[in-house]
Amino acid sequence: MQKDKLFFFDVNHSGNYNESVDFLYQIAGFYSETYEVYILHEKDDYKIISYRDYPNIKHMTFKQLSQKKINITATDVIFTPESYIDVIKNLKENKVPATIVLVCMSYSQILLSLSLGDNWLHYNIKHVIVPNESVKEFCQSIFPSVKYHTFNQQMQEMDKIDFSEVIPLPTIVIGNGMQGEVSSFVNHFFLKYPQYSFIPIRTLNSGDLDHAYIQLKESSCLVLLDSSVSDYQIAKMAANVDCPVLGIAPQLPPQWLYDENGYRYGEWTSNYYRLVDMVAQFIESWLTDTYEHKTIDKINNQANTNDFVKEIIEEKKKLIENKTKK
Amino acid sequence: MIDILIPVNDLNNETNINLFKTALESLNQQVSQEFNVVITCKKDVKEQILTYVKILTKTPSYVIHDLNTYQEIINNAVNELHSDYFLILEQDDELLPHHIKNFYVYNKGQSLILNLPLEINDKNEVMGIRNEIFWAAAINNNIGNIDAKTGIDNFNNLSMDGAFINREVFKEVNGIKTKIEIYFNQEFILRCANNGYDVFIMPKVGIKHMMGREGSYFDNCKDFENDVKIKYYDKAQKEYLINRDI
Repeated sequence: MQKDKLFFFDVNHSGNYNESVDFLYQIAGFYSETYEVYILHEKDDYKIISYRDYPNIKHMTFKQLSQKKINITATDVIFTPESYIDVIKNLKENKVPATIVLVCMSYSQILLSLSLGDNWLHYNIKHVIVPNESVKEFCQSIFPSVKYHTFNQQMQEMDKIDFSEVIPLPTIVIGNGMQGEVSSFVNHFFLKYPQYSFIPIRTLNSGDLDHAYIQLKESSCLVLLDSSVSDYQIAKMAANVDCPVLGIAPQLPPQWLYDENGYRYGEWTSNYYRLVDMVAQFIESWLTDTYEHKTIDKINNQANTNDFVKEIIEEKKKLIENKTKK
Repeated sequence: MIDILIPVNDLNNETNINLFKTALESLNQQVSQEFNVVITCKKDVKEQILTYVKILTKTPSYVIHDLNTYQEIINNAVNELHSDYFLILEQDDELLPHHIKNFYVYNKGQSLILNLPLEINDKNEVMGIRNEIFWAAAINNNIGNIDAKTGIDNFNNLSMDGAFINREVFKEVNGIKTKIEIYFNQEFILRCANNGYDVFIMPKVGIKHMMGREGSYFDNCKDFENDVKIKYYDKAQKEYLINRDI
């Protein structure tokens, strides 16, 4: 029996680790055992995230999909990032019969991608996948009629950093920031604190999470400049391996990071320009070994068990059946 | 184990006594207490010292000498030490509480383990940090290690304050040269590096060194004429190629 098809629209990326893209790949990987999963790329020279090697997933461009005459039917499901609202518009205009599921990869993009007065329902979006409850609550407050499904991003098991075995460099890892932000931050830091100009600052240029782990193992701290990532996976990894985290406070803090007593891990500021001072204070205390490091228990994500795609497809099949009976 | 070698010249004024007490107190504050204390001084100074060493939680041993130059005093005292590594704690130095613990963390058998000493003035104001340039200069090859070339290129930045020195290596390279009156520590570091010994810098501030104490090395340097200083500066940069003090 032919499997139902799931199409994932991948955004253009460098092939390196990116929390948002990783989220999409994890969802695709989760369903690749049960369904025929395609990840569709815009350009011919697309890059696959090599460390998410799911053997059952087929990669191709939109052009190749039409050349191979793979039809999108009513029982298929299309997963698309929230920034691809124009693509969704095209699908709707061309009367593509498949169900559209929006993947909320970066919540800062949600409102940016919509035109004034537009609503997800206008684009026939009735199902949205979110990475955690904070993002769900945020989306629900704007689009209450949509069905939300939480998909927990899974983290690889990694050992805690044993500082008596490694030589931790006084190095800062900057994750998820835009390139311009990184250089402006580094410039600001060195100009304000020239005494620390010997500190080798590097960016997180990880090809995969293992690579990121190796970088974290050598780092005295992780500095996060981007406050709009959904689940703070890199910060979670840092917390799991006991690497101190400093960063711009998240706009929607995920549950693992925040409870009624405040932040459970790391030091956060909402003032971008205050971050250099925090880093300088950290460096000073790190160099003189006066830093009091707060650790937390390992954070384990719950495994995903809810196959809501099955429900969508069965519902669609029933609908088709009823229509054909008539 | 480590031997902490404390050379004491004299305790002739209140400032010197207070600094000496601070140095001793910083040993009591160490997180790791795996070290021995060895004081080297002249016989008459020992009588003065006994009053103050009571604050030490460890009982020190003594190397009594009748020498005059700093280099000779150190070279002589090292012959009497027994641990694999030693550290010279001058009476105007103050170790930070984790310094000895960090030695045990970072020690991978290197010959000379330096740190990032903080230089302060008599008002406890920070004048600068030393050795830090090697963390940037050697970034593309062997981060945190000094080779003779990067050492020469950043000669002024070298500091041996709070260094952990392998006793055998110290003897093999024939100790500190007596004929160089200034920059002898820098010359010693370069000589170790040039002879292929591992010279590593811990990325931690391990010691506060007070500059300008009366009677200190820094204070004595003020008495030298500029051309003499330049002579020693040049000499130290060439002398490291020769092992023996001839």
